[in-house]
Amino acid sequence: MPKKVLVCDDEPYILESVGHVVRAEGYGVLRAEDGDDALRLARAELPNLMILDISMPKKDGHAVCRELKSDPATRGIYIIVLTAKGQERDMQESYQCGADEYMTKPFSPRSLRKRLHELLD
Amino acid sequence: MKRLGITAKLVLHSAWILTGLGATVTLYSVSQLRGLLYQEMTQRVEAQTQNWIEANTSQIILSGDSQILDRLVGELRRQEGIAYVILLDIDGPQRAAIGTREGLTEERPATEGSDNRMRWREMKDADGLRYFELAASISASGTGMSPDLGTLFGAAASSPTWGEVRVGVDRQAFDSGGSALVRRNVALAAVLIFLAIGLSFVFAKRMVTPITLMGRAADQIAAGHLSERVQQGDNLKDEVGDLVRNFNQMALRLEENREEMNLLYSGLEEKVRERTNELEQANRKLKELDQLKSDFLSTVSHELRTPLTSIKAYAEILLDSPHLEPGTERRFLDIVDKETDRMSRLISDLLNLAKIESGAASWMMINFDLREVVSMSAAVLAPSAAEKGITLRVDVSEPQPVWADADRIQEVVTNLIGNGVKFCSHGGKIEVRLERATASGPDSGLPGDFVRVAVTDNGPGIQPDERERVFEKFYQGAKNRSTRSGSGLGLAISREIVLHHKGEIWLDSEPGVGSSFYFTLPLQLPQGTVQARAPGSAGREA
Repeated sequence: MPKKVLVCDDEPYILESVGHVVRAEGYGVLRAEDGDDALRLARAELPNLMILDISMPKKDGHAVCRELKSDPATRGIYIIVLTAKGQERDMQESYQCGADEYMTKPFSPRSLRKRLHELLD
Repeated sequence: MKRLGITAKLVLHSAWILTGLGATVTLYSVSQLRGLLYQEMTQRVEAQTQNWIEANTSQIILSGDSQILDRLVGELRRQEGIAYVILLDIDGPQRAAIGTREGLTEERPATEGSDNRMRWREMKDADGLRYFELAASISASGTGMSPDLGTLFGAAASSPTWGEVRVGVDRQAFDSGGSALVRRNVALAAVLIFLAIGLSFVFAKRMVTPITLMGRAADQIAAGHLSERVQQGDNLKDEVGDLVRNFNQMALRLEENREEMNLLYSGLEEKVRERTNELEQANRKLKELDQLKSDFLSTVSHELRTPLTSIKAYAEILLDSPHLEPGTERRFLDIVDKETDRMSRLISDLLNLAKIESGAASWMMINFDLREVVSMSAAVLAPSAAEKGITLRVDVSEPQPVWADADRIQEVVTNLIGNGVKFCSHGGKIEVRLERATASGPDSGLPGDFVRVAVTDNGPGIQPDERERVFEKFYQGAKNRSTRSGSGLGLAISREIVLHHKGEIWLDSEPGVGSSFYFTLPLQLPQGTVQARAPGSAGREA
């Protein structure tokens, strides 16, 4: 059974590009366009990894991160924050919310691919 | 050394003067009195003696009988104050005496009495007792004896002075009487002096008390109690009264000045507080502006990174995936192309807005008919409206002359109609109307002649809490975000443009029914025959 990756972003093109990279490496892809969707899918599907945007409608990435990390059932999901917010304090906030890794946009699909293999294989 | 107060000084001085004067007057009057007493005594004794001589000369002269003479001198001695009487005849022998003292000696030689037959001298006896002694001569003439009788006693007549009588007055008795008088006088003087000193004390006290009070009041005032006044002496009609009144007047002025100063001071404090508040507010505003700027920069960065992320991601995917399906490859290239357009639109909108906001934009102001601009915008957007099955109707009747930058106004109209096209679903309706208005709009509501452009659609509408925010930079409703077409700056730019023309822009909306966007421009009625010119026919104006 392939490892599952939940990709969350409200920008359709970015969602599609990340999804494409994940799928091309042979992992299962789950997509969410807002925070509520992301939480719902994470709880229902318990993915191995999450690639999470911060600025999203309904519920932002930090809130999603906090909720998942405070719930024992979902605490194990490895969360990579992928955001266009590139300031130092944004990064610190993400780590405070329990994110495991922080990546800024624009990102390199090549590096992402490498990280996926390191984390999931 | 103890300090002497004014009262003490005044009393002391008056005591000195009173005592000096009193003593002088008393001594003088006592000496005068003594003189008078002495005079009275001598006159009395002289009169008694004279009377005695006149009454008894004949008997004295005629009688050789010592018994008779003893009786006569006894009569005289019984008179008041007389200590002894000695009767002598001219040759010196003593004929009769009564009360004589042992060892009488002359202490002070005789002085003339009131007439030449009488002499006074002072005597002292063996015991040291002292006497005034009157020696009066006895003669036939000047007596009560008739001249006939004198002739009758020829012997006597030929020798007129028969002898003399010496009358001694006890000086102790006289002196003690005088001393009592002096004592009474001195006592009276002393009482009067004390009374005067007492009175002078009272007067001095009355005069000095206001001055003392004034001193205390001055101390109080110096200590800051400016309401202190001198309560006593302000009704006196003298220099002290003047002083007290002037002092109180001065204190009142001081108090008033202090109050005035306090008022000024508190006013000053109030002003400083106000100014500080203003500065704090200005500072807060500056900080807010700074925060806004920083927020804006981070938003811009975010907005630019988003299309850049897609471009970078798809370019890299395309480069790294040589075996992509042709359809996918084409789709990814298309995305890169679209996102590049979006990014360049975003950059040009940002620059445009920055230029307008900083005042660096140049405005090409011309007279033109707003109908032309609206029609042109509608014509540009007609194809995309038609593509979505949207009816676009423009309702223009009379000419609407305005003085404005035609290109930028067209940008506003295009933006509003474009939004309508973007948000209306298939089969929607968009209507553009031009009307006259008598005020600029609901915000400032400046009165005047305006043209109002209304763009009404039957799209999804805008929630009340979003109505102001849609004019903010980068504000995009959830639906707008997912369409990925706008920069999020269209309405912000439109608002800047309209405000620059002294117009207003606002919206009405009922969610689920539709939205109406309005903006106004001041109407520029043609003066005489002003022709509407085509846009671009006038030079740019800074």
